[in-house]
Amino acid sequence: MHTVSLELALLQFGDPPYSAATISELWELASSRETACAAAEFLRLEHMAGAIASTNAEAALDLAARLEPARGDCGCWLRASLLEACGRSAEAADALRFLREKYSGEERALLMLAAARNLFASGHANQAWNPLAEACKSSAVPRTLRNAARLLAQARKKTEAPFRRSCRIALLSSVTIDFLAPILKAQCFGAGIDAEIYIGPFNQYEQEIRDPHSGLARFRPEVIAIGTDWRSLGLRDDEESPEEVVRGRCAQLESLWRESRERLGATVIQFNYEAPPFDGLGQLSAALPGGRGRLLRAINVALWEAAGRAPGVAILDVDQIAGRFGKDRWSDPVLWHTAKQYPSAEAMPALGHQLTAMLRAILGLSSKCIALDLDGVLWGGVIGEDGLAGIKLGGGPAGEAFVEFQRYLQSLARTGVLLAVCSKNNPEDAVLPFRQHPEMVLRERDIAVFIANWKAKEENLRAIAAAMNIGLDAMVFVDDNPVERSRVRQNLPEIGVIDLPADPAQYVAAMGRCGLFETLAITSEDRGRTASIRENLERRTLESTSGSVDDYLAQLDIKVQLTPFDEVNLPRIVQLINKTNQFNLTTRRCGDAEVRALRAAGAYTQAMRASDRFGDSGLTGVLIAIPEGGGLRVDTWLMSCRVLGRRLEEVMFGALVRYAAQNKYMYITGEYISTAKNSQVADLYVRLGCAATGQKGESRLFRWDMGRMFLAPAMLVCEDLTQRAGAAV
Amino acid sequence: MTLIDQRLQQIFREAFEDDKLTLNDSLSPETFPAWDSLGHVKLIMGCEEEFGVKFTIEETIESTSVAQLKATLAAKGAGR
Repeated sequence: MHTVSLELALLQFGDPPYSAATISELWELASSRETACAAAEFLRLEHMAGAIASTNAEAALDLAARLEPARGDCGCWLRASLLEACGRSAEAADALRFLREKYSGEERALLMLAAARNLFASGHANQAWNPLAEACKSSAVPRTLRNAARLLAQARKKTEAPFRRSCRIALLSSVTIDFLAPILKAQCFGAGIDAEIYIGPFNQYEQEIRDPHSGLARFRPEVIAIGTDWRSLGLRDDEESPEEVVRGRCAQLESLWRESRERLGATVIQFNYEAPPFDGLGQLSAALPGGRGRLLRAINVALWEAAGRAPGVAILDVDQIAGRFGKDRWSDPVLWHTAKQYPSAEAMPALGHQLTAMLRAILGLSSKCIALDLDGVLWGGVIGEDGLAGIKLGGGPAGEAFVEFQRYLQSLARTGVLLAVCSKNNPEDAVLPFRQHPEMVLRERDIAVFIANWKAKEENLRAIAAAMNIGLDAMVFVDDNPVERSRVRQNLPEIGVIDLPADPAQYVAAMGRCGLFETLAITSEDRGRTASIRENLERRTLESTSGSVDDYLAQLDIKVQLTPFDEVNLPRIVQLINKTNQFNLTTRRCGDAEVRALRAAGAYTQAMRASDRFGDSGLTGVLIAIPEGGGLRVDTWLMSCRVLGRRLEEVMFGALVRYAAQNKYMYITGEYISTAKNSQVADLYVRLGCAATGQKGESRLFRWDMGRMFLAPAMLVCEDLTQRAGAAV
Repeated sequence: MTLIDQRLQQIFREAFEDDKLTLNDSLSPETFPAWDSLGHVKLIMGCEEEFGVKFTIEETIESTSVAQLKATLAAKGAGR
């Protein structure tokens, strides 16, 4: 029946004002269309609704009323747009409810943004933040993201927005980068980051970093993004001494990194260089030893090497982002010549998306676990019905896509992401392919928590999070069934949900695009994490069979080693400081430079490693105490969730007390700053025997006076190397 | 108000972050101080996104009033 597209059909309505007959035609069209709408069609309908409402509000409301029984997407959306244009935001939000979970991508973004707008306007801010975040996560269109950023800014003036972290980010560039700011702000909100953004003056990145009185210095950035472009390097098409050029350009940036880290105390994100799509020398540009194409690639490699030696510096692979986006569209010569803007407007969301992914990593907000459905995700078909021989896995085009997806997941797991299974299946069916199918890439040892039953997925996801000791906001759910995805989205909005495409050939790309798993470094703890969770589950079995906690601990045969911070353990320490939430007394986040500064200033530093008969948990505890007056103030104290409940906090505190006594401190002070996640340590100091001494700002204060004995649990064997290290390292 | 005007007004409102702005043909950088060089780029980008067209360098430089912007868009067949 509908031979023309909706967009074309709408175009035939021409310009307002519309006659009653025309409006009736529009009603007929909108209420009979049942197919899904494209983003452009949503926008067109919105314009028409706005035009009708501005010329004749009565006609608009009448049309909205006539559309009420319409169940097609086109009718629902037009009705919502009409109601919004007439200021009936509560009804508009209600009209959108049916549509919200039906779409992915840009259409989803537009629907979520409209829902958020109407919910804010009708005074339901608490329900509006989530759709606004969903809009920010789903959109790749500059305009949608800019509008989301505006809505966010307006709404924040009235109510407090939910954020996981805040971050002061400076964007310094050799080009006009102003237009990235609103887009990045929206994308950061989607990631739970409250981004305060400073834009440096055009092409003054070097002065900004070096001048102690610059706007940048006053801004006190936590992260500095140095967004230099390939043109700013001033390379000739064929350089005579290529090695010198590479060394020189690299050294210049390295010196800026040092200034940024040491003087400004900021983490650095350095953009690398796009090798542009066109060069007068053509393919020779990369083939000639001094060709510009060759040099840009050489500089990129040199930057990665330099960043590997410079802690607190991460390289954003702009060349790869541009390639993925399409270099033909990455730059816009008109905008370059008229406004020195690079990359193009349409490319900004792609750049912002990866920048946000890196900020997540820096702030410790990257996701820690993927909960996988099985049937239709790891293999084709249904194991419970088709059996081992019937499922599609390897051995042909349909099965190979699943093998490739499993390989991708295995690589992700290598970066420290935990894999879990969350499947509606009989458990004995679910494990069968893992044990017996020859084409399975993932085996049981790769899965940290394996849950197959017939309970609701929300319940199982909660159980997985609990077994891993992580928050729901650190989890990502992968399921091919849109109904399950929608249920999880509605019931557990903290969880990241991947919109898995219908075709398994697209699974890898869908995961690759989500930007939730970026990591800055792979530590040895990352590599052993799955084994460690599996060991923990075994420990729990032991716990339930042994009597008292102390009996259990004695059976575990725990060995603890305490060391001062050093070059080797520093990356892991910084990682823990930035991502530990639960056992964390002060939740003070800081980067590599700040930790070094504390250590240099004479702080007592303690890194705790624990092992037991099931395995080595690695470096899992961090304590920093700063001399103040005649005492020591515990500035930072945290433990990874995988070693909790083993009285290790007493071992750590015992060592601190010993150190304080030997170095003639009179007391130790501690503080507790409450967050949404650290209530379990609210009374830690009291449990250790400290006196509560009151409140200062948001901190609850505690004090341990020296001269008393502190008895650490005897069944924990401790090797303490922090005592002789002395104050200054 | 035609649909083109309606869409253009929305672009102006978004570019200058002013939800009460009303479009009129005489609006230009001279009469409207917020229309600076950065604002101009925002407008051109907004038009390109909204109408699916690409401005040339000349068109970008010359479209410095609502009337001229509309003329450029009409010449490009935008919104039809």
